[in-house]
Amino acid sequence: MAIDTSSATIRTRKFLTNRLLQRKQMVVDVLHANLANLAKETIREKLAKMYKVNKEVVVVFGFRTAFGGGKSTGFALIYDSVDSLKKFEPKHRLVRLGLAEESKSGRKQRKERKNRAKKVRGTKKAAIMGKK
Amino acid sequence: MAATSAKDPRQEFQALLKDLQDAALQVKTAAEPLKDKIKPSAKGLSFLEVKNHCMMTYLTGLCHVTHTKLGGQAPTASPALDSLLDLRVIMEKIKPMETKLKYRIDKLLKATDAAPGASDALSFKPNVANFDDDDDENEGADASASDADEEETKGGTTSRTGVYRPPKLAPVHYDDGRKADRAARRALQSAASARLARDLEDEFGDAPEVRGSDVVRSDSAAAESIHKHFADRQAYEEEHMLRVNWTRADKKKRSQLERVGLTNELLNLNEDFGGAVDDDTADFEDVLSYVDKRGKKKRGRHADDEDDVDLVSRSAKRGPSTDFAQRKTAAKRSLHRTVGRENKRRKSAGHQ
Repeated sequence: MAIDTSSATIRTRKFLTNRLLQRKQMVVDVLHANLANLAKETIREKLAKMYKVNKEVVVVFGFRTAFGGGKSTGFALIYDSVDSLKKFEPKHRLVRLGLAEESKSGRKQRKERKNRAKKVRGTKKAAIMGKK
Repeated sequence: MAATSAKDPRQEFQALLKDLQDAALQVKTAAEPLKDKIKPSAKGLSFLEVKNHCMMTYLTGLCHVTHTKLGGQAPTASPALDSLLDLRVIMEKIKPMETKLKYRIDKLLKATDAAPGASDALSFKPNVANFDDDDDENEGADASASDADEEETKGGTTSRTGVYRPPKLAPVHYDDGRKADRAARRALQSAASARLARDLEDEFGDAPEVRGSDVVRSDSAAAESIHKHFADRQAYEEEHMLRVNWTRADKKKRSQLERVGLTNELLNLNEDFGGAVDDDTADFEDVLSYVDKRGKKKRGRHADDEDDVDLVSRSAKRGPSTDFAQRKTAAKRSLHRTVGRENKRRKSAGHQ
């Protein structure tokens, strides 16, 4: 029951080079007639091959299957390097890629810590935030 | 002098007594023949008889009371007093009745003077010239439009006595025409988006034809609007590289699209022809001009200038272009405003 990935087609639209964030961003259309949705990893690989970059600098997200099936649309970002990726990507996507770990403290604790840091100015913030 | 002054009253008294005697004799000689005449008869108005009888009895009673007074007793001791009081009341009641009958009595007297014959019956016919006066007297303070004694103000009338009577009008619903205007505008819009108008626009309009795999042209306007909504949404998402959450309304619209409706074309004939089937007198000129205006607005004010080249894309020049994007930006702006207001309030409260 292996999914035949070679029969799926990937097209990119609305290509834009974002120099400010050191990346290229685009909308990705995946045509997979009679198949289920492709996995994000597969799409990453295909895009890396298309744009001749390392798979590590490619980030894909937001895939939604269109009404009726057969086609899904999502977004892709191709960074110049892994460092710029680590700098500009939001936390949750880094966690998805495995490059960051999510904090074990709960949401409430995080917010309280932030509020405590608000009362303090300058380098003292690091002392409070560093506790995690 | 004292003798003359003392004599005068006595002489006066004697003279007066003599006069009284003469007057009494005169009355007696005059009253004798009348005794036969004054007998109750079947002819004539019994009302008048009663009146005369009352008056006579009253006079006799009055004489009796005077006699008692002269005798030295108080007039209230006289037994005739009770009957006198009764007669007085009766006479007071008789007086207004007499004024009411006055006309009839005069007519009867005139009839007796005139020659007897067939003309008599005719002479009793009502006198139309007297009608107006009678109305005034009888109705008095009523709110009738009689111009003699009452003035008519706008709707209300002021009676003779100066009391204002407002007009008796039932409250009526006021229609300021806004509802009709709104209905007319909506009818124009629906007519312009009707199938007939759209087909005409496709054929004779200046705008280029829309062709594409993702452009859906369905028969029902509702389905088209839903498709447009989702297309706008997708455009927004792709523009901003993010995904927008599905609201309950969106889910409902999605389910509406899936619903397959079997529509009978003949039943929707009126909507397809822009309301012209029901309303024959409808002027299609308004619809055509409205469609034309709308087309021009879509293409932009400088659409007719061919030298104009748009170097910058429309959305970049003019902000959000689709309805969805507009709504989104408006929602974001209002959210930022409320958050800012809350923070400001909290800050000011915190500092205190």
